[in-house]
Amino acid sequence: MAALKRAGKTIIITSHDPQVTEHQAVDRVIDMKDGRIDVS
Amino acid sequence: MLIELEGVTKIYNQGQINEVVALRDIDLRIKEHTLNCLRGASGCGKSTLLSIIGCVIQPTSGRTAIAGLQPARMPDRFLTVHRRRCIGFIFQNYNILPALTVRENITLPLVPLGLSRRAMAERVERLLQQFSIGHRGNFPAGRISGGELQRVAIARALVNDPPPSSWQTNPRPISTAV
Repeated sequence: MAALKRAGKTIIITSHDPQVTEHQAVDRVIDMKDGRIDVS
Repeated sequence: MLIELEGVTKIYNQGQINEVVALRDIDLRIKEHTLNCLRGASGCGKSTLLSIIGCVIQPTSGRTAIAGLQPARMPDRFLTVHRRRCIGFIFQNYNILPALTVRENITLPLVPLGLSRRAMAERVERLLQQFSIGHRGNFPAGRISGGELQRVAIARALVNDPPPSSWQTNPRPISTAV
């Protein structure tokens, strides 16, 4: 994922796996709940 | 900003007894060259949101701008071209065709572009080398390992050299129709 980002790609993934969501290459985690972006 | 959504709502089967409001008034901006992770319980709208960002479906209401274009204003045939050129999808189950070779699987998205055979072969070879699967190029995709399959799926998503790439790792595929 980090290599893809360095290659200039914009990446959006969906995952529940903390190994993915907490990876250092992840710039932003967007939480969703009931069809909305959860800002709580 | 590469991706902008304003007030995006998606309602499936609107007005029918099985109506489902999948997205409600989503505002989202995503910068270029970033890695973003959508997280939430099953059924929270992640797949629908990815499908809208991927120009696979249109929102019921709201405004979207994806890689400089507004999909709602584009005829389907232009949207197809935009998707083909700018967006790559990687599915959790990879959706690789097992009977075709690794090389043929990666080549598939290039076929509608009308490139020469040589141009297609050059792009595919570059990716085969980049992802260290050159030695598997002529293997049927159904006979390679899971890790290699993942690399084939990534190579196939990148073969059109798309700016945004969408990688879904949750249990539900974004859409079997993509």
